[in-house]
Parts: sequence; structure tokens; C-alpha cells
Amino acid sequence: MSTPFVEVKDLRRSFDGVHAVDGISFNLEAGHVTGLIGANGAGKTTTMRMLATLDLPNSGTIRLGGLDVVEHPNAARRRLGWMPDHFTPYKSTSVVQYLDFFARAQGLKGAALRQRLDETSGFANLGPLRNRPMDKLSKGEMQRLSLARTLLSDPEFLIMDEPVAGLDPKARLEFKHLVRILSERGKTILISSHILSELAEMCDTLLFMHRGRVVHHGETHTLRKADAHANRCVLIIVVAGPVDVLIKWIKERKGWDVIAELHDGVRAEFTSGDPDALRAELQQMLGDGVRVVEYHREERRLEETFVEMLREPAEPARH
Amino acid sequence: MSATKTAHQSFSCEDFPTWLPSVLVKELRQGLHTGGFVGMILLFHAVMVVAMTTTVASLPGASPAARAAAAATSNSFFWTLLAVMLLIVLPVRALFGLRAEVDSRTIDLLVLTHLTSWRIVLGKWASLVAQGFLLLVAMLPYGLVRYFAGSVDLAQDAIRCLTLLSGCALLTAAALLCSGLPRVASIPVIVLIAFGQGISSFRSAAGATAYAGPLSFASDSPALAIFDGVLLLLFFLVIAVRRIAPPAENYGMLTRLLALPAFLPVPILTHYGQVETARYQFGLAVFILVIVCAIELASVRLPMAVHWRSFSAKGLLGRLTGPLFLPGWPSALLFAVIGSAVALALVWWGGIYSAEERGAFARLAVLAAGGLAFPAGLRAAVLRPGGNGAAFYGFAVAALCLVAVVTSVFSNAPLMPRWWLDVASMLPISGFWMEFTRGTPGAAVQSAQWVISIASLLVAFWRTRPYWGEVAALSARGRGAA
Repeated sequence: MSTPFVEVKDLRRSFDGVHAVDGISFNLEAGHVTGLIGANGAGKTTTMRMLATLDLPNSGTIRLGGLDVVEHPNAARRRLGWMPDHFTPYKSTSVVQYLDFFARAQGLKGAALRQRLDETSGFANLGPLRNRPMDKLSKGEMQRLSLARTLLSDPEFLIMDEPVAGLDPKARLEFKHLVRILSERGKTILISSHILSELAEMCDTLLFMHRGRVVHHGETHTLRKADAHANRCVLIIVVAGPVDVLIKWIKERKGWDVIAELHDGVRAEFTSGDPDALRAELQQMLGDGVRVVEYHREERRLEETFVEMLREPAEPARH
Repeated sequence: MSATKTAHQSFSCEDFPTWLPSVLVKELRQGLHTGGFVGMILLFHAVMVVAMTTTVASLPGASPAARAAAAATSNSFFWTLLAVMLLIVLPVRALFGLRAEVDSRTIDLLVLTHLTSWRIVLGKWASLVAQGFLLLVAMLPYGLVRYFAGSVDLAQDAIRCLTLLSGCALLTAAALLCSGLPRVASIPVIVLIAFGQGISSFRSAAGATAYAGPLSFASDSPALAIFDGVLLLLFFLVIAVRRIAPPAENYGMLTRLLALPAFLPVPILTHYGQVETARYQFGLAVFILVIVCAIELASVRLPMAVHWRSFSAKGLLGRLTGPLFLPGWPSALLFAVIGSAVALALVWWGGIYSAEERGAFARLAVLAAGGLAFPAGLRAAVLRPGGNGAAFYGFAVAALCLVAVVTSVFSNAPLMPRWWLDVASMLPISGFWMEFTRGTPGAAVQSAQWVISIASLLVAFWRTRPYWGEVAALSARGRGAA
């Protein structure tokens, strides 16, 4: 595993006695895209604002590339980019004027400023929108503009708060594509959302928050397979000939259960997540004469995984 | 979507050179395009064209008296319109300057750039003053026409223009300060400024030759007026900056230091025999000191490593002075005591007050210091962690001021018990104001005032121990890191 770029340890933040963030710890690997998931009020935005040096923790530490962001906020800001969930467009300002202002504000001048503007506007495909007033942009265009602004300082770590919320499917796809390119360029990215499906395709790892605590932190594909926590798996088994033979075998076998009968097979549950045990069971099934022609392990929907996790007591993050 | 570069045209703006401050460029781009500014220019020109045309048309064959009356009318139009635009319209626009950024959270995006809060506020202010200057330039053709109508004193006009522009600069800074305050707090400040400096500046610009208003005592000394004006301007801007500054930026030092230069002219004025002016200057300095101390004592911020580093990097002097200028009320309390001592020293040795007055002033200084410390000490004792400390302080101060006002107003009412008058005179803050409405109280009340004020200071200092523990820890960590 690569070196963690972001290290969060025992982070706490409360507002008027309410624990918005309650002792969370996690690491983000350099160059990885991590999804921060949680219901509204789970503490996602508070966590992100502290990571972005916009808010101070009551206790705990945040290190960015080894740098304590509370002790060295200005140095940390040079290395991060913040993309809020919503920002109000400036009045009487065009797209190019907006980016030009932020490029100047990042200390860029002369040829360097022009080069950076060309790069970021090209990346976010803002060329056709050059002279359009900001308040005439669609939601998707605004998000692209926001991303271009965030990239002006060429940050190593990007924090994006609900970036795809409210986008139409086309804009959503475009945005996911841009995130993937940024990831390939080595950026460490943290994206929040309360809609899991939005993040599943974009993220390498997912970090679940609930009531200010991290309830799980794991790789996306692992969560889909439900290997992280579950002691069960769901299989679709298709047979040639009568289905009754298969159902009878399952009912006689310990650890198996039929969830649903299909016209050419069953949807069944096996109460073990161990791949070796599952392989042995399937070999036994074939050995016992069940004419299996197809089977596959059903991937769990992330929403189900999340809901199940909320039923379990919060555990420390894996990293 | 293609993630490659698709723009053929260079994606940059050529309207302002890239070396100009970014916030100034942004604000000018926005400001010069707003309906407010364009409308103001158009209205100005429309009214002046009508006024000047009427004046010029009436000149041929007119008697000298008629010519003078016509010139006076066009002058009135000219100056009144200009004063309205520079002293009312532009400052009103500044009233929304910071609030718009804070409410829309665009301020977050700004503080994450290389911009400091100081540069953000300064850029906004400079842009509005630059727009005021553009307005002045736009009126030059009408100035020339007035010259042909006669009754124009160019030197006087130049002074008036400078006065107007200075008033615009000061009021715009004050409006920016208000724009960063919570709405409930901004209203009284706006009223205070409007009825104080604003209206007076307007009167001054509209005809009076002498400068009027709170700084009128300085009208005989342009240098003093400029000195105080610049100090007030900086004070307004720094308070505005504090409202948007992220926790890592410490403006406590600048705010507190700004309270001290106002005392500087006092011994100089006394030395040159201008004792009355020196007294007014001293009053202004004390007023600024009290406001600064109240603002700083309301803050419940804790010092951060980044704050302490900036002092410890300056060596022994930095480490010695750091505790006076760190953010947070305990440090402000220390500063308030030292500031009061400076004021007392001036009273004692400055030659502006008689021996009798000195004694009274010493008591007032202790009452003020105790009054400022009392709400901070009370807050440290009763407010739970995470509560709104600044609001608590403000509420306590307002409540005690209200006690003084109500007691003073109804002091002669038949139902007002005598003992309550004594209690109100003894209470912190309330007691200070009661001195001005009821005069010096009896010896027993005076003794109680001393005891309560000093006790308030001691309790407040006692409650600062955790803060200084934190500072010591920061210092130790800094030494460890070194």
C-alpha cells in the first residue's frame, strides 16, 4: 500500500454541544479517489471544511503530506483545492474574468497566468463559455468552472463537497470522467455525497460516516462483494432440468437457504463469506448430481451495505 | 467531453495589467458594470447638463446680482449631487461588500488563495474609492463651465473635492466594517456613523468652510485632522478585516496597536499650549482604546501555533511582547490594563488635567477597566464550552449599559428606590456611565466601586490561567520543534 497523503487522527468538532464530528480517524492514500458517504448531517461537510483549513477541530490532528494543517494552515492551503457544494456566481462577471481573478489571487502573473488559465479552462472545456456571464451558466457548467478554479493552483489534494449533486446525467458523466483523469494524474481526491451510486464508479475507496463517526472505510470493490463485514453471500444458480433437485439439495444442506425460486434456478444464500468454503460447497453440489449450468455471486448494492453497517456498532476505521 | 485543450483563443483577460492587485481588479470589473455606478454617472450628467445649460443661458445680459445667483444655484446642484454620490451612494454600496461574500460563502474560496483578509478588504475599499475618484474626474467639465459663470475659487474647490473624497474614503471604510458585522450589530453602528461623521462631512462639503463633526476639534490643525482621519480609516478597515479573517490570521496585534497612536499628539499639543485640543484628542484616544479593548475582550479565540510562531520568530522581544498581542480575551485583558496605564500616565504627567481632575480620572480608568473585564470574567465562569462567547459579552455589556440608562432616566421618579441608585452606581459598566449622569457618588459608593472593579479584574485574570497554560504549551512545542 502506498504512503498516506492525508492522515486524520481522533478528529472532533462540536457546535453548541452537538458532536458534528466525533473522534474520527482515517488515512487517504496518495493518488486515490475516496468517496465520503453519509446521510445529511453525518458530519461530511464539517470534516471536509476542517481538512480544507476552513474550520478548526476541537481536538485531533490532520496531516497533509506530513504537514499539520492546524499548525501550518497557510502551507497546507498551497497544497489543497476546495470545491464547495454550492457557490454563488459573482455579479457582472464572465467565465474568463472569474478564472482570471482567481489565477491572480493565486499569485500568478504574466505568461504563467495565461498558461495556467489555458490549461485549466481547456481541461474543463470552458473555451466555448469564455465570455458568458457566470449567472447564465447551467449547473453542470458551473461545476466545471468550479473545478477549473480549484485546479488553478495545481493542488495535490482535491476536496469536493457534493460535486455531482443536482447535475443531469450527461453532466454527471462528464464530471466523473474529469475526476478519473485527475486521479490518473496522481491527485489525491476526496469526494462527498449522500448518494452512493454517484460515488461507486468514481472512487477507489469509500468512507462511510454516520452521526459524526466513521462506520467503515474500505475499497469499493470489496464493499460490493461484501467481504469486509458480511458472513453471507447471495448466489444465482441456474440448472438444466427440474429446479426441484436443486431446491431439495439446498434444503438438506446446512448453511444454505433459498431466497427466491426462479424459472430455471434459484436465488440462494450461503451463510459464509469465505471463498474456499463456497468453492467446496459448489463442488459438492456438482458431485451430488445437481446439473448446474450457470452460477454467479450477486454483488450487493452499496446502499444495502451502508444500511447494514448502520445497524452495527461504529468501529474504528480500517486504516 | 474532451479533456484536452479545445480553446483556440487565449483564455485570459487583457483589460487590467496582471500586476494590479487581484481584488481591486475584480471589484473594478464588477463595480464599473453595476447598474448603481452606471446609473449614478448618467444621473449626475443629466442633472448637471440641465443645471449648466440653464445657468449659461441666463448669463448673457444678466445683471451681476443675477449672474451671482445663477452661479450659486449651479454650485449648489454641483456640490450637493457630488456629496450625495460620494458620501451616501458609494458608502451604501460598501454596506453589502463583505456580507455578500460571507453569505454566499465565496469568502471561503478567497481565503484559500494567496490573498490575506487584509488584501481582500483593502481591495474592496480601494475599488470604491477609485470609483469615487472617477466620479470626481467625470465632473471636471462642469467645473470648467462653472468657472466661466464666475464665483469659482479653484483653491477652495480643490479643498472641497479632497474633503469629499476623504469623507468618501472614511465612510466607505466604516460601511465595509458594518457589512461584516452581524445584522443586529450593524444597525446601531450605521446609525452612529451616519449621525456622527457622515452628516457632518456632508455639511462640511455642502458649504461650511470648517470641518465639522467628531473630528472638528482638529479643524484648526490639518495635520492633526489627517492623522486622526488616517487612524480612524485604518481602524475601520482592520475591524472589517477581523470579521472575515480565518482563525490562522491574527489581527489582534494590529487592532490593539491602532489604539495607541491616537495618544501620541496629546503631549505635542500640550507642549505647544493647545491644551483644549489636547484634551479632545485625549478623549478620542481613550474612546478608541475602550472600543478596541471591548472588541478584543469579546473574542474567545484560542492562540494557535501559527500565531505564536510569528512572535517567537522575532526572538526575545517577540516572546516578551507576544502575550500582549495574541488573539483571545486573556491577552486582550493584559493589553487593556497596560493601555489604561498608558492613559493614566498621560493624565498624570501630560499636563492636560489639574490635580483634582487626575484623581477623578484615575477612578474612572479603574471603573472602565473593571467594567470591561467584568463580562469577560463572568463569561469564563458561567458560559459552557462552545457557547457564543462574543454574543454573551455583547449582551452583558448592553444589559449593564441599559441599567445605567434606565436608572439615570428614572432617577427622579417617585417609585425609584434610593438604594437602587447606589447599586447601579456600584455595578461594573453601569457605574461608569452613572458618573456622567449623576456625578461623583458618596465615599461609601466610591469605595464599593473600587472593590468591585478591582475584584472584577482579579477574577478575570484568575480565569485566564488555562489560556496561559495553552500559550506555554505552544511555546514549549515551538522550542521542541526548533
